[in-house]
Amino acid sequence: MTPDSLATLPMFAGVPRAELAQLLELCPIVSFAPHSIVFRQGEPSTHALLVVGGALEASTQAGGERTVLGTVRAGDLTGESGLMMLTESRGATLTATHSVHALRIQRDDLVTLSGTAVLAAIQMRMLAATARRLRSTQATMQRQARSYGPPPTEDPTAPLPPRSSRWAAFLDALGALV
Amino acid sequence: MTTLRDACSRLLRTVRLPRDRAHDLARFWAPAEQAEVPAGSVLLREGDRGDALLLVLSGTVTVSIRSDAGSQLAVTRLATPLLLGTTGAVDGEARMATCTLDEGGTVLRMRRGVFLDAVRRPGPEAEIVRELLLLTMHQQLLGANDRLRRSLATTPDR
Repeated sequence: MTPDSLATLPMFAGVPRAELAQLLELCPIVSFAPHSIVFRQGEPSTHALLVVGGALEASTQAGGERTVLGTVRAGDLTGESGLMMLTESRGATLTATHSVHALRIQRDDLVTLSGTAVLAAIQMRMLAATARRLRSTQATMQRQARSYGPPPTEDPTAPLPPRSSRWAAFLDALGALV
Repeated sequence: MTTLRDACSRLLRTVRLPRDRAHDLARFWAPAEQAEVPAGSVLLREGDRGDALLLVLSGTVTVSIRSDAGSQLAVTRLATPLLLGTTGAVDGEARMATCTLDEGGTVLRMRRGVFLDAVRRPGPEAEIVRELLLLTMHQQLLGANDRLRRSLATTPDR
């Protein structure tokens, strides 16, 4: 992996080669064979991966049922919650579907990169990914709320909804997303 | 009266970022338009395109969503200072809820194009905004999951 090859990723357009070299010095390249588990749901979220080659599948397991959430490809940043100061566990399992090469990024690396364009590029990618998660969570919650039928009251004089139904539970959670 | 510097300091405290970065955060807002907004004003409307990032310095904000029947359902009331429209400012997609100012207050509005141009820069003003947005949006996700877990554990099926 070289600064020139990193520069081919759209997220690093315009980032100086010297800063990409610094990123490569800080963050080791990790590789995974096809079918390897890269992140396991429920494990502590300690780092993120910037995928530079290959592809992975994200899935969750609940009540014995496995749900595929999507595919992670070259140029995607995944596990970005591991770069936040908040403690969180992995929300999904990530499995390599092809041979994968990625940069392993930790929170301390971001501190070292403070003031650089490469940090700005990584954080903008994190913002875009977080915005997608917020929208997807909201859409799921709204779908679930509707599956419980109409709200118990639509009285416009009631300023906040009652907290006595599953519908209201989803409505309450939606309030936290704004 | 809440000053921009005070508001920035309080915003940083809510996500445990160092308050001594409030100066950088306040400088980021320099190109924003500032307005005194009357009570009852709709700051963001569900379904509208995300065309700006807002910083509400004072007052309270009611958040509502449209029901299938077309009426507005209040889901929460938020205290200020408050960043509004973060997701829409980042991705430019439709607003997820309607936000109404309950009492008159001061609102800073930064158009999305200006915001994106400023936030992509490598300097300290942009860096603190990116960190604040990331932590704020992440807290929203964690908060929604927590509320849902707690609510579902204590409510009947209907």
